[in-house]
This record gives sequence, structure tokens and C-alpha cells, in this order.
Amino acid sequence: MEGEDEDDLSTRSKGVFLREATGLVREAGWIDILVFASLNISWGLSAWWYFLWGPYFAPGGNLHLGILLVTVPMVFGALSWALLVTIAPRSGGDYVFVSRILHPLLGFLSSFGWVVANFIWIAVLSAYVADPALSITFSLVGWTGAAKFVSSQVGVFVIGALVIAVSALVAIMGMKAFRVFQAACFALGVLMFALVWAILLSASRSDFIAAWNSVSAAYGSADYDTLVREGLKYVRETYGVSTEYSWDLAKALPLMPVAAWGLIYPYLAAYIAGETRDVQKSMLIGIPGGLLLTAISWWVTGALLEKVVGYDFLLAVAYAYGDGLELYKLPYPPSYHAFAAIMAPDWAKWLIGLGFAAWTFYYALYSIMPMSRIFLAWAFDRLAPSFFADVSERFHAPVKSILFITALGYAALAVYAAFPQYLASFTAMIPQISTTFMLTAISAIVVPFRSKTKSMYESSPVSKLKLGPVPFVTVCGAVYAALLLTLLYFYFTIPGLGALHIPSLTAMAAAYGLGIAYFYAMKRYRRRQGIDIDIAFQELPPE
Amino acid sequence: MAVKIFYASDVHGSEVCFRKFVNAAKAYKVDVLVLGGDITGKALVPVVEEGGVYRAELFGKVWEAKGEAELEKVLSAIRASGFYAVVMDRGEYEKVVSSPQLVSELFDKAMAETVRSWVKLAEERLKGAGVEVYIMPGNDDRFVIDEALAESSLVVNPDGRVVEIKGGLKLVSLGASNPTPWRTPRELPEEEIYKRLSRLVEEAGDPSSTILNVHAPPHGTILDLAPLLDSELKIVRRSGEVEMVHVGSTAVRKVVEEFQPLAGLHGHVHESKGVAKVGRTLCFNPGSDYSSGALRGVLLVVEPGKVKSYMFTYG
Repeated sequence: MEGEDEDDLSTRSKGVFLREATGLVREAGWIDILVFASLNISWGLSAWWYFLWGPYFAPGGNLHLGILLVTVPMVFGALSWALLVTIAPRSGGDYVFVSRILHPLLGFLSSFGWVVANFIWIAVLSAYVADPALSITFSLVGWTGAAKFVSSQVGVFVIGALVIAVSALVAIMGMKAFRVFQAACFALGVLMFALVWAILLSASRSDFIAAWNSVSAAYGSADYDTLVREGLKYVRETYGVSTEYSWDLAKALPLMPVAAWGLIYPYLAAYIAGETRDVQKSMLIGIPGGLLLTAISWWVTGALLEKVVGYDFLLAVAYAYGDGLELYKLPYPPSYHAFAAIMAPDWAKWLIGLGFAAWTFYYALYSIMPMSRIFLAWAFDRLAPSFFADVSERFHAPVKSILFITALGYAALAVYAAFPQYLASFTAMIPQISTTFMLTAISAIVVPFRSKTKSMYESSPVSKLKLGPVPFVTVCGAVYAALLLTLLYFYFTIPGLGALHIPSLTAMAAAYGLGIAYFYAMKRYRRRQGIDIDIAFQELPPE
Repeated sequence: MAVKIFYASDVHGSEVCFRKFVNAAKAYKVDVLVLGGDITGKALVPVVEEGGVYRAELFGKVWEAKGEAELEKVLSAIRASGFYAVVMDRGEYEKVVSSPQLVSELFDKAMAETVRSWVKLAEERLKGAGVEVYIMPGNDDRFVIDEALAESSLVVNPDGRVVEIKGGLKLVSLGASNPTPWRTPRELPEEEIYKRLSRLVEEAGDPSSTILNVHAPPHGTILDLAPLLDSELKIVRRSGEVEMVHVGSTAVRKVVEEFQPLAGLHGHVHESKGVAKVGRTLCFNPGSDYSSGALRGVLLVVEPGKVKSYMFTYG
């Protein structure tokens, strides 16, 4: 075999004798995992979301405190994922460990929930490339016709469809193309942050006011002073809340569901555990590392925005845009990167705009690639037809599976372009939090105590980590579960978040019902063929 | 009559994986167990005794044990990882560390002893259970283990032979692989593999009742992709990416294409788990994850002329 045993290189230390033998290569390292985790959170896109909707849903709540409120418990969430894949280092993520630790049906539903949510993400986030990413970019450089087209229903579908097509092509071309594409997006995205920070660092409040007033005048929008004065007055009078910016914990708590839109997503790298070398180190650095890098990038961006733009402006513009007030007439949504770009020359506007687009461009791919792996894992476990296990010899990728996902992605995009309210972002989070993430948290809590996975746990290095008498993985799972329950509470009690969209939730409940029926039908079908699906999920007795 | 076969490969000395392999017979209710090669370990960890304290280095960490109970725990951890553990005093260690010959002899001894104990375990657990057990050496396995396998009254080493198994099926086996850069103990030129395999398949008769148990996977499929190495055995990267190449056997592919047996069971390339169709023949490689203690395998329900169903396992 032409591979070198990289996995065993760690053992080539003093005191170990080796002989001639072939072995296994695991390709991805901790840097790949870190980039994967960072991109899946998307520093750029999630920062836009946070600095726009954070002030809107938590007026006066300190943005830095909001970051801490989610980041600190989410470190334990990130560790839950990292530790679980260290115990079972196989590609497939939650499907693998939930099915083995809890129950095969729950494992299937966990990944099924992920698949359902990711069809929504494919649609929503491919559309985001058109609007807001390209619509802001074109508006900034004065291409108003192009900006108008990409934010129209047809434009959103056309651009979104192109993004999905490119993503499918990259997925078909395999891991090499995937990593090149990922690296290019990450580099462009980081360049955007460097430019935004450099501009905000060198600018003063008066520079921003001058730039804002000039842009807003062109669209007949309110100038800086009017926007701040009238906007804050509107918030106080309409909602009866104080707009004073403070470190008050009660004010900052509603920031949690908004911050979670980004910060609870560093986990995706766990899906490639089977191809990762030194899994424990790579995952323990990479997954929480991606989370912490995002938090740091938000922290810096927030501090610079407070200095140059001012919190009062962020709050006023969020309400002016969110509630459709006359005060805000710009043809694109307010965004931190646009605030910096309006003070920059045209070349920098292009780079910032395209850098922001790069933070959204890979999302469809990030759904298609893991989804094709899940389908492959289902097919190997005989829960899906052999069709999904068919890997092309030419491309070394499950081409048929990718094309199937792409077709369904187009259908979801068409629904989103026509009826965006049915595929709201927060609605997509409900199935993920309540199944994929919650079942992962529960798995982390119970893995040391379940008889069927006890030996796997005890033979892994994770068993050596304890907090007093309590296994550390249990502690991580418990904190993670508490965070998720808190988030669900907010999603179900803050109507403005749009999570409680009854038709969407009903459709999802029906999808889960279908999933359960499908699971048992497949089980019955395979039993007739002489295969008991349950054994795919059992650890063999090691005694 | 449909027969249920469980196939695994490349356990590389992992005690845990072998025990799981044996226990799979009952857990999966199978008729035939096949272990397709590379059963011996790649590394040997000296556990050095000095002043009543045992020390061993594993995964960059020094393990210390005092007394028999603690020592047993350390030995179990080493064996679970697929390494051989040899207890020695400081004087013996100093001698061994400077002599490749002594290291090689220690490996031979550890391999033979381990295989012998494994065979005994299989006999204890499976004798009278009506399960056929086939264990074949692979390219990484030294010839010293053949004797240990031959001593068994239950386990059959099918290497280089045609064996009739349950359900009127024939198992054609070959543990040697095509040449590797490491010059492992059992390698053959492609021409020789073709010669031996085609002769065996002809001897087996009806290809639709013949199952190939050949360690090396067929070349040019998704079962044989591994990183390309340079002349110094370093992984070749282009633009930071690992260059993957097909490393399976062209002779195995040719035999499968020409004879179209019922199924092909393969191992060798740990990272290339999958199922590939070569003509009408379904070829399987369950891959290997022995170092984590998890046993990868594939379960097949077959009858002459038909693979009724299959499922990959990770137990």
C-alpha cells in the first residue's frame, strides 16, 4: 500500500519498537478542523446578523456581554462534540454516536433533523449571496441596476441557483477541490475583516458621520443625527423600553438567541473525524478554537463599531430597518462591513463586498458535502438504498447522492425565493437544537454510564478527564444541554424571532413523523432480506 | 440455502478487535467468520521493570505501574492499541535496544504467542457452535504465525487454497499483496498473483458460487485509494493537498473481470471502506480502525448466484 502510517507516527518515540508494515493515513489536521469550524460559524455573516439583530432584540443590552453569555457555555458544547468523536472517531457526526449511545432511531432522527434543517440552510444561505452580500456590494460601488436585480425574487433565485450549481460541482470534484474552495473563501473573508478593522481603526466618529450623511442623502434617507435621535425616540415610545446601553444582565439575555445563530455552529468538523489524524488533539483544538476565534472577531468588531459608529446608531438603524421606518431608505440592509466600506475607496469597497460574499458562498457546499456523507452512512447501515453508497470511480465522490441533494436544494430555494417566511432562519434552528444538538448533549452526559458504550468510553483517553468524581464529558454535556434549553426558551417566548411559525413547524413535525415511519419500514424490509439493521449500531462485546 | 458471512480484516494485533471478531459470531448470528489478513501488530512496547516499578512509553506518555494489578492495566492498554507488550528488566532492555536482531526475534515470539492465544480463544468460544472460522495471514504478517494457525482444530487458514464453505459456496483465498514500498513479508509480483488466483478460481469451478477472499483490493476502484509516496516514503502533497492514487492489485481486478465471481472480500487499504461493482461482482472493503478498538466489518447474506443483502458494521 502506498500510504504511510501517519496515525502511528505519534508512537514512534523512544521506547517503542516498530517493524515493516503498511497502515492508515488520516489526512485532516487541527488547522483544517479550525478552518472548518470557523467557516461553519462564518465570522463574517454571523457578525452581520449579530450587530444588526442583536440591538433590535435586546435594546441597550451590552453586545460584548451577549458574546460572553453564549461563548462561555458553548465552549462546553464544542468540547462535547470534540470528546464524543474522540470516543468514536468515525465520520458521520451525531448519527454515529447518538445511534450507538442512545438508540438507533434517535441517531437516525438526529441526522434526519440535520438533513431537514440543511435543506433550509442551502436555500437561505445560497440566497444570502444575492441578498444581502451582492446587493450591498453593488450598491456600495454604485451599480444600482445590478443591486436591484440581485435583490429581486428572480435575482435571488438565479444567483442562489448558480451558487448551488458551483457547490455541487465542487462537491463532485471531491475533497481536494473542496479544500481549495474552502481555503479561497476563508482567505477572502479574512481579508475583508482586515480591511474593515483597518478602516474602522483609522476612522473617527466624524469621518463616519460625514460618509453616512453623504450616502443617505443620495437615497433620501435620514442623516446620522436625525436617525439616532428619531430612531431612539421611536424605540422608547413604541416599545416602552430604555435605550441606554449598559452591562445589565437582564438586558443582555435576549442577545443569546441572536448570538447563537452563529456561535452554536462550530461542530460540523466532527463529521470528518474518520479522516482526521490525532483526532483528540485536532478536535479539542479545532472545534472550540473555531468558536473562540469567532468570538474574538466579533469582540474586536463590536469594540470598533462602538468607537466609530456608536451603539446608539446601531440600535436606531436596526429598528429603522427592521420596522421599515422612513428614516432608513438605503436599498440594502445595514451591515458593519458596509459602515466601514462607505469610508473607503472603490477598490476596497469591492474587496470588502466580495469578502463578505465569500463568508456566505461556501454554505451550500457545507450542507451538500456532509449531507452526502450522511446518506452514504445511512446506505452503509442499510437505512438508505444502495444508490446513495454508489461512489463514482472517476470522481471518488458519491455523485448520484450529490445530484439528488442538489435537486432538492433547488426545490427549497424556489420555495424560499417565493415564500421566504416559510423557511426563516430561526425556524431552521428549532429542529437542529431540539434534535441534533440536544441529543448530542444527552449523549455526552450519559456516555460514561451506558453499558453498551462503556468499554469504548473506557478505552478512550476521554475517560481520564474528570472534574472531581464526575466524568468531564458529562459536565460538558450538562452545560451544553442547559444552554440549548435556554435558547429554546427564548425562541419560543420571543415572538419577533419568527421561530414560532406554525406552518413551518407543522411541516417539520410531519417530516419527523415521516422519518420515523421510514426508519421502521426500512428495518422491516431489511429483516426480510436477512439483515437486522440494529446490529449496525451495537458495539460488539470486547470481553 | 442463504449463508450469513461476517468478514473483517486488518486488526493488526488489536486484542479488542480480535475478541470482537470472535464475539461477532453470536452477536450477528453468522454461519461463517472470515478474517482477511494483517492480523499481527506493527509495534512492540517494552515495559521496563526497575526497582519494582514498571515503565512503558505509549502515545508520547510514560505509564507507570506498581504491582501486578497496575501492570496488568498497562499491558491491557498497550494490547488494546494493537501493540505487543513485553516485560523486561533494564539490563535486557539495554541489550534489545541496540540489537535489531533481538527486536526482530521479540516480534516473532510475540506474534506467534498472540496468534496462538487468539486461536485458543476462538476454539473455547466457538467449538460446537456450528460456525466456520477462517483466518488468513496478509502481506504484513510474518510466516511465523502460519504454524500457530495450523495447530487449531477449529480455525482454518485458507491462504492459497480453495475451501468449500457452508451453502455449497467456495472460498478462494490469497493473503499476499502486490508489491508495497515497505517490502512486507508477503508480497508477490502481479503476474504471480494472476497466475495463482486464476488457477484457484478455475479449480473452484462455478464462479457464481465462488467468493474471493483476497487481501489486496482490485486496482482502480474506490476500495484501493491511498496517498502517493515519494522515494523517501513521505506523502506527496500538491498545492498542500495529499495526492491519492490507486494502490490495489491489477491482477486481482483482472481475475474479477474475467471470472466474475459472486463477491470479493478485501482489506489492505484501511481508509478505503466501501463497496464497488466490478462487472457483475460486488467487491467489499470494510476498512480498518483497529487502533481505536472498533472492529469494522461487512456482513453478507449470500447464496449461490446471488448476494441477497449486505451491511457494513462498526462494532
